[in-house]
Amino acid sequence: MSEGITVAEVAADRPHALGEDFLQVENLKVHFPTEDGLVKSVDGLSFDLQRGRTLGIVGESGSGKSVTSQAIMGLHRGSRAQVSGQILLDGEDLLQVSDERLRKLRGNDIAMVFQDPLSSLHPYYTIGNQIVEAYKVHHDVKNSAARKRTIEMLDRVGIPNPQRRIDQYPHEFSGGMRQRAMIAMALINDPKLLIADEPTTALDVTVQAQILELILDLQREFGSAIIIITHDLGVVAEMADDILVMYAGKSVERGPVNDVFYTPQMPYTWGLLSSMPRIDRVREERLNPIRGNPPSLINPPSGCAFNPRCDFRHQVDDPQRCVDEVPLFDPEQLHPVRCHIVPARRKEIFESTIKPRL
Amino acid sequence: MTEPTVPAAARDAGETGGQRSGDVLLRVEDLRKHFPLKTQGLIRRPSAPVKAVDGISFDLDAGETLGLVGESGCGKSTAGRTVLQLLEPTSGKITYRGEDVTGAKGERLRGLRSDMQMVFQDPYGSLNPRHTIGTIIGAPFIIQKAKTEKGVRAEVQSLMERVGLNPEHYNRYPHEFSGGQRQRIGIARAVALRPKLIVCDEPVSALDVSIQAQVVNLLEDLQSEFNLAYIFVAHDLSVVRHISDRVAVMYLGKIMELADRDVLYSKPMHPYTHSLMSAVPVPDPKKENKRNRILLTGDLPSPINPPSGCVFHTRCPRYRTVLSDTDKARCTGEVPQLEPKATGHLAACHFPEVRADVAAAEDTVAPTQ
Repeated sequence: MSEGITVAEVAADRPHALGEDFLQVENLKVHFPTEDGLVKSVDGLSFDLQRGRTLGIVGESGSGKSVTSQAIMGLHRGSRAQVSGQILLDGEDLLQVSDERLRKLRGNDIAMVFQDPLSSLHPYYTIGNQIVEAYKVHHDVKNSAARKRTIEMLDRVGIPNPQRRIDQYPHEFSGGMRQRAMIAMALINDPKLLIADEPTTALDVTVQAQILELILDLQREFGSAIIIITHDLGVVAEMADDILVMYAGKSVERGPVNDVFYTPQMPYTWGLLSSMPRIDRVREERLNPIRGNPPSLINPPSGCAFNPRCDFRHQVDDPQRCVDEVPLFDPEQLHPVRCHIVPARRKEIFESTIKPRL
Repeated sequence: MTEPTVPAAARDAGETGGQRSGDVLLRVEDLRKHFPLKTQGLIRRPSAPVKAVDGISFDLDAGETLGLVGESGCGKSTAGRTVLQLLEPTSGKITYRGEDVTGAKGERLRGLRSDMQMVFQDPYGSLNPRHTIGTIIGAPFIIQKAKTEKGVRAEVQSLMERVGLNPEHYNRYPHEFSGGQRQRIGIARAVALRPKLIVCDEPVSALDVSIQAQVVNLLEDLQSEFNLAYIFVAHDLSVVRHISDRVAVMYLGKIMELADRDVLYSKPMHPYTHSLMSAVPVPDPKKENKRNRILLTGDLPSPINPPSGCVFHTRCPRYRTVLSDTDKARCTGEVPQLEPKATGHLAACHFPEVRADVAAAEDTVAPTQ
């Protein structure tokens, strides 16, 4: 057992530097006009994040989680997307700053790790060239100094033999190694905010464990704020301090990781948690899927977007409200939920019906 | 098809791994699939092949599900395809209902196809975008010239209804359906001719969490309705645990461990299985913080030039930290055979160790067992 690492030991000294909100997203909307109509990928999202903390954004495909991260990085600039709201990074509105200023921030203050490391690395340049470039954009140094720093960073993310590996091309790296190179590139300027968009989805579990460990390690070292976007609830349970659940472009539940996992309040979160087979629980004979299909973003259901799939509509005094009226979401609360069922009733349903199933 | 002729004694639980009942539908013995490579340059000579599947053996009973897990590149998908002879085996023997079907060709192979089907991973790539759903699900009837009571259309529509699709969508095209619905189309096509065996190659990994459960439930319903046997190839250990009766763990083209689901998940023996199990993140923050994680170092070795002896020894935590030098020599020198280490529990390891602590929780075994 000597080779085992207890995650608790490392979790204890994770810097929980509570204080000023470092990133504040206010009423963010990202809409894409298409031939078929307006796609409201993100529709009024608000959240904030402090330094040294990790926010996990969970949702299914099309829920708007990746579009949110792209908006923070300013990747919708110059496209047809209609972006509104506020994204304040250390008080500076990223939606208002000049392109030049954004270029300075991007890569230096905010960095991103993408899902697919093969298509996010340029096949024509060596790994070293790509990372050196990322460093030199923000630092006025000689090539040799940048190269030295790159080798250090490759070593830091666990790439063996970095002196030789630095001159290799992406195709000579395995999937896990490419993802490590991407992380090295993202972290080479010590960013204050790291956005990891499904950083381990393309990887095997054993490699995933290594990469997640690495990201946590680097966070402890640099005190960065991290947004981790994933559909894997196991990954957020390990990584996140807070969780934001998204459905059809809106936040539907947000709270500290333990609250969302142990006392979830939104029927969609209940559905997510009880539909997955659990390796850590007694095996069930049947899975409990959420019925129906994910919503269309062009014609989302009126009222609460989850209402056509919700099993608990009859618990609302006037079920018609679910169809007519979008439930409110108060981002000021500790554990806000977007649902018409009154909180006391939700707690009751959770204790009696959902908890035994989880 | 002939009746099964495999002697009952050979199916003794100790020899084949796991508690077994019923008749053996499929027997795979020392199956290999090597892909030849050519050297680079002007004169292209054959060089060492990629040993994608390198000597695997297992039995599968009618109505049973065998899970095949492992990391990408371990050969689990190739194994599934070679069993169906979508890929021609390099060597080894495949016996279907007592009949040697290795290397079957032409009409004979086509006959087998109506008994053995496949569900693919990618619900986008596996349906022809220019064909309607009716044509796609009806194709097996046309190809096999199968007789239908009320015509192909009626048969296809009842299939569509069975898998949870609206029969009125008979004339629609694949792009009009969501990922989960497309996977249902692929499943309807696979069960069209009432096969006995379906190889499911990562059937739910491209789907959203909420949809995965729907498709897994559908597969289970069809299994009990038609007495189907599944070979369920997947990398998601939680899904495999849910659906499988027995589970085989593969690494570099070989089976490392094979046992009943509950045994494998509660008392894994092989060091590779240990690290695989401990790496699965569980959706429970408190448990997750207490987990004892065995991190593997390095990458998967190349299947062109696999390590000598036990293929796992280059990354094995036990080899690195526990074993003495004489023991290590055995790991590097002698290939461990997949053999019973406990009743119904096969492992290919010279120094196996039962570890219950690496499983995600102590309550992994259903109390009803």
